[in-house]
Amino acid sequence: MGNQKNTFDVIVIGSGISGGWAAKEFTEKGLKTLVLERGADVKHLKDYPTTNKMPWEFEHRNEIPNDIKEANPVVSRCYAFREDAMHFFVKDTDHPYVQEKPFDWIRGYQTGGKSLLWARQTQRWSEYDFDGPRRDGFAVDWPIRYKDLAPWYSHVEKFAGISGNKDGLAVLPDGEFLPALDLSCVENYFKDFVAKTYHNRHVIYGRCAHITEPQKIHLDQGRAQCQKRNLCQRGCPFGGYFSSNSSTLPWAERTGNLTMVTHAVVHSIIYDDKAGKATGVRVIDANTKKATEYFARIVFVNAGALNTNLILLNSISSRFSAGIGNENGLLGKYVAFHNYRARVSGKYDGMLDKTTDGRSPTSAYIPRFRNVEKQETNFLRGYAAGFSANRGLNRNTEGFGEELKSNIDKHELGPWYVGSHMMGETIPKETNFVALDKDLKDEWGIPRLKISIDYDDNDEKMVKDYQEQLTEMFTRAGFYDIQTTDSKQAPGLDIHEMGGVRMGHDPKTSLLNEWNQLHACKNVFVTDGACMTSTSTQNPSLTYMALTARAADYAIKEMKRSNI
Amino acid sequence: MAIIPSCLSDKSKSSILLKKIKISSDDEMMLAELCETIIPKTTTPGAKDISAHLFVLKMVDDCTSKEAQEKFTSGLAAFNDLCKTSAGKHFTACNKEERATILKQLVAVKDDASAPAAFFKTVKRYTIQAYTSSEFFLTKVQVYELVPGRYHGCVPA
Repeated sequence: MGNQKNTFDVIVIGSGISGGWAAKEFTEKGLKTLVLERGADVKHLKDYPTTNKMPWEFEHRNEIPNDIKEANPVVSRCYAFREDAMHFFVKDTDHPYVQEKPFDWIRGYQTGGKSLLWARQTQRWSEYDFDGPRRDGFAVDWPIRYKDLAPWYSHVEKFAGISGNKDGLAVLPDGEFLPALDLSCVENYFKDFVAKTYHNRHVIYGRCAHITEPQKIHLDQGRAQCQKRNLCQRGCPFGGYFSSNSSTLPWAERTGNLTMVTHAVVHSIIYDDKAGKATGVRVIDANTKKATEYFARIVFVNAGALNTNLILLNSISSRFSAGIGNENGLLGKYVAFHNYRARVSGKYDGMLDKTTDGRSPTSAYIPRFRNVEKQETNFLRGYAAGFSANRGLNRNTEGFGEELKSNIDKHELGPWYVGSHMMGETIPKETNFVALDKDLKDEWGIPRLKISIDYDDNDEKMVKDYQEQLTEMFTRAGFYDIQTTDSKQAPGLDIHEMGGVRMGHDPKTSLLNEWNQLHACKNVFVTDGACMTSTSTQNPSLTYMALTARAADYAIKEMKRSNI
Repeated sequence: MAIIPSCLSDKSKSSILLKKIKISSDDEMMLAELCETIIPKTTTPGAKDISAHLFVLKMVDDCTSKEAQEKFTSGLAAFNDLCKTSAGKHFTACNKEERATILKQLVAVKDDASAPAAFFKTVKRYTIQAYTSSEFFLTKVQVYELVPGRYHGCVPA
């Protein structure tokens, strides 16, 4: 065992949305917890350099300079990589990887990780989602069901602050909601139209991690009501949306049980053959490249789905020659993601005497309606969709001179612009995988990650169906100028990569058990996106948070029973 | 003996530091007049008041490709030539009416892809962006709220 100074009860690798939850749960229960973050520290309020900037204060009015785009083509494709938040993204050149097939790996290496930057949509999974692989015969059966996770969804929702309506839909269970904000007039019109026209399709207010009405638990965190700035990606001075930085990490810090080490790149997990368990982790300092070892009874791996795979694959011991816990050769395989390729947009000329006022941090949401009760299309599973409707400006920019100027000065509202994007489930396959590159290493001496992930025929059919169905719904609702697009964007740009260390009943076909423990190394837990057996269609962060809190609770009980 | 700072006498350089494109002080002056012709000062500030021409240069220099930058500088030269042939003098030396006559030629043909028209289009686009994102515009014309504090989904337009 190592020295006292480097020994903790628990090590959490990663301070993003799931790592922050692990830190909170363990420190609250009195366990000395070390959180390792590979990036720089970002303190709530203090380290949000752009948060109060006005539009004219950005040198390039929020555009990314061309030199940066050309040097970093991958991250430059991300919608949120703009002048106001570019400092929170990993540049392509910071941590290169090998694309066996095109994959846009979007990362945020800093305290809080991507929880600073996420889109804050928080929809629960339903029984239909957990039962999907079993019913439809793909991947492996999830070892848990909705009832196992439901109390933990409630647990994290109350603390994070989730705004939503009780919609009473089996396909998207209700949660512990703070009041919903308005939908816009035309979002409400479309909601009513769809309810009247389709028996199994619904348009609802998109549940989101925003404090619309602070409760004591939020005020105790030092967070206040969301002020509808919609500048979340800069970091919020009100703590209006949930992030590790504003919520779980400062909460953990206040217990006195948290130790945070930043610039700590985890090389591997240390496995003790004699003890038959993990004893700690090896860390390389991001700047000095100095190696350090830390020790603990339990290791939670929350490095972000693909980096979690990388760490496990690189954790080699005499027992585990292909990565810790990898006795069946499936580690890194069955990676999946969300298909965000298609959009449908249009215009609407009704309700032109109405508009919106202020800004909404969310929009409407269409839960999955394909193949819910039974298989009914020529593709497996289905898609959810975002939906929004807002007035545009009619800005006449013809000509020049005084006439142009007075045209620009006029605030003349245009039609309602309606838009939708798909969020499709993809089917995990053995051929979609990540692995260690045999030759190339990064600057910390760790093998580069090789990524080999692609769409398949099921995805192509789903894109087509989404475009057809939304076009039909838009047309029947009286929208016009309907445009469909398929960006053909590479996997990864959805920033919902999942799997590689999937949960399952059987150690022969999965890596983790129903408590997110490695089947073959019970004191190592994986509770970020890497654990996902299938992807369903919901934005996944809420599910990672709930799985993490549930696994932490189990780990604490198992420690008390001296089982780990 | 008088010491004249070199930056004042160097007519080959722009007043702001540009990394990629080369713009002479004459070109910069011309650009300021062109932007002002696009968004003139009226009872409210115009392009010059918000240094729109410097924003145009900054954006072309930092945010466009090498090809677009070459097109911009060659388009600028072509624009200068056009002024010479149609008005017999540099744009800066033209009066208001002469300037308008030149620009009318460029907006007359829809989707005019000639070098001076493309140059003018780029300048106009960035001038409008400079104006609509200026502190003046966003505090006095169409007020930008950093902290709205509210969202109402359906109010009278």
